[in-house]
This record gives sequence, C-alpha cells and structure tokens, in this order.
Amino acid sequence: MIALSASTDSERRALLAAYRRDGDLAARDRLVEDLMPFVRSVARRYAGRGEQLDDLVQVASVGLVKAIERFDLDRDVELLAYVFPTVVGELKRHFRDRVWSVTVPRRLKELHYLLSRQLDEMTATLGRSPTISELADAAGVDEEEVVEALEVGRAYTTRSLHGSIDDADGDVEPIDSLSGEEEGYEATENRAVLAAGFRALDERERTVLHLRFFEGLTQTQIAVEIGVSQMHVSRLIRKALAKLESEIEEEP
Amino acid sequence: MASDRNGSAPLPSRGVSAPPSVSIGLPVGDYIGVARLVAAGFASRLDLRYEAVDDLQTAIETVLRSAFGPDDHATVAISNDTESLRVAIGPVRSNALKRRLHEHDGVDGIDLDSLLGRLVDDVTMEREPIASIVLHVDLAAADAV
Repeated sequence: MIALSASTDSERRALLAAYRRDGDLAARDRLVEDLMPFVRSVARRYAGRGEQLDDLVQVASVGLVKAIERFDLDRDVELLAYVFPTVVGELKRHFRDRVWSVTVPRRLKELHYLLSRQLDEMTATLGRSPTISELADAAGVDEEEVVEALEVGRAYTTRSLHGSIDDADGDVEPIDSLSGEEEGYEATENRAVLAAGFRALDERERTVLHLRFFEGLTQTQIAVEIGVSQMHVSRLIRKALAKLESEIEEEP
Repeated sequence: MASDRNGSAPLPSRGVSAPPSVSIGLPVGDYIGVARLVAAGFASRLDLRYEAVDDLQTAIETVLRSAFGPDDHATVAISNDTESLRVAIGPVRSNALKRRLHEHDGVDGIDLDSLLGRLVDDVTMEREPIASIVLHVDLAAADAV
C-alpha cells in the first residue's frame, strides 16, 4: 500500500510556488519532508530484488527532487500524480544500470545481498562492524563462504549512483540533490579536488575519499554521512583508489 | 602513524589455532584478488571485524597496485603474534613509500604512506629477507571502537 502524505495538493502547490517564486528553501524542504513517506513506500515496492531499502529510498529521493524541479505549476495535474512516475522511472533506471560485471553463481549473489544487509543491521545493533565469524553465524554459513561472498561484491557495478544520472538540465548527483552545501567542508574539500589525481574522480568518489583519508571517518561513519550501505562505501573507496592509480600511471 | 582503527578482537576465541604464517607468491597483474581473499581468510581467524578486514584488503591492494607493475611478481607474507597481524609485501624498491599518489604544485595530496596509515595501524619498511612494505594491524585495539 502506498503511503499518502497528510497535505492536500493545494498546500503542496503553495509550498512549491514559494520555492519557485521566492527561492524559499524551507518551503522546498517542507515539501520534500511531506512527500518522503510516499517516496519511501514506492521504494519499498522495489525491495527484495537484491537491493537494500536505504539505497532504494535514496534513488527514489532523486526522483522526488527531479519531480519538484520539473513540475509545471500551470498544469492542471496533481503534484503527486507527477511525482509517482518520476520516482518509479528513477528506480527502474537504477535497476537497469546495476549489473554484475562477471558471472557470479546465484548462491554467492544471494549470500552477498544477505551479508550486505546483515552488515548494516549488525553494525547498528552492535555499535561496531561485526566480525567475519559473527556474520557467518548470523547467515548460517562458514567463514570461508562469507569471505568469498564479500569478495564477489567487487564484481557488482553501481553506475547509476554516481555520475550517470543524466538530467535534462545537467547531471544530478544524489549527494548534490539530497544535502546542502557546507561552506567549511567545501573549502577543505578543495584541497583534494585541486590535486591532479582527484580530477579523475566523480563527485561522490571525491567525497568518500575526502571523508575517509582527510577527515579520518570510518566506513561505517561515511555510510551514515552519505546515506548508503557500508559495503557500498567500501566499493566506492576501492574504485576511487584504483582510478587514482590509473591516473598516475598515465601521467608522464 | 595513523591510529584510526576499525576494530579487531583478541586472539582466537573459538578454540581455533591461527596458522603462524601464510605466504603466497603471485603475479601482480591478475592475482590481486587472490591476495585479498587469502588476507581476509587469515584475518577472519583472528576475529577481526569486517571493517578492519576490508581496510586491510584495500591496503594490500593499494601496495600491490602502487609499488609493483602488472608484470611483477610479489610475495605476500601474512603472520600474527599475540599483539598484531602483519603483512609483508615485497620485493619493493627502498623508496616505494616515498611515492605520492598524486601531487600538484605543492597542494596537499595523499602520499602512499599516509593513505596506508589510515587503513592499518602502522606501516614500516623491512630490508630482510626481502625489501618489503609491512602493514601492521594492532589486535589489541579492538576496544578502541
């Protein structure tokens, strides 16, 4: 069942008009907040297909932001009726773009998904990341299988979550869409961005490397900070470091 | 050297004797994944937490990609005592740790030493038996998280 927000369409239109007309960011934020239960419930429909709900909600949120930016207030259409297909479209594109780069046995794929979910749940419960043996016990498999399943995650590509979300008005990064600018952070990040190797990275990869290696945050902390799973952070770090290395090798 | 820890636990709590050492020789180009798997398998027997295992794997991969060419042959030797897990990777040039992962007109970047220092507890160079970069993970730092 899709969760409907409490506001009426006219109330939502008023918020959107205030945002459009006056640049009222608080009005936009209230609108996002009002529609998020609806967006979450749409994302929940796509759960159980091997993706974590948190990641799906993030993808769906990008669709919401796009809908808010694009909706034509002059049209006699309910905002919610425009948000729904936009969010669904974003989710479908997400699944279309996520692929396994090599053939991985189904058993390992399923175990990988399970472990990815357990990792975040157990980290939240324990207040630390679990050990391999704890993961193995929870999944009911041997430690070797856990190690193997964790490793196959490297064969999982995640194009749509960074850099490939094309938008008619330019590329939209989830991280750009969902969080505001922080002046101090931007200044310190420039230190990294200015460096030649970092130019090869996309915005999300730069952010993750900055948080990990300049700010000293752990994977778990970064996952919370940018709203993705810990395993996703791990993949982003590895991919970014490999890119940096490739960049250096190409330099004269 | 860097001290941020992702966690580890004391030595085997399940009555399993950790092997004193595992050493593998591998062609760097296509076998980095093998080194990652072996390291994870070894570390799991010490009850290292996932994040520490993952960071160790990333550190090993970074050393192999940074200090070796794809056609080089590397030896990865993993061992532990009661206090730490150590991974020696060689043979490397003596100035391997001086290499910067990027550098641009004096702007701060990440040199290999600093980067590895964020991933493990200590990084050293050893000359014998072969010139190696040695990664150290402090097992007693488990409670620091």
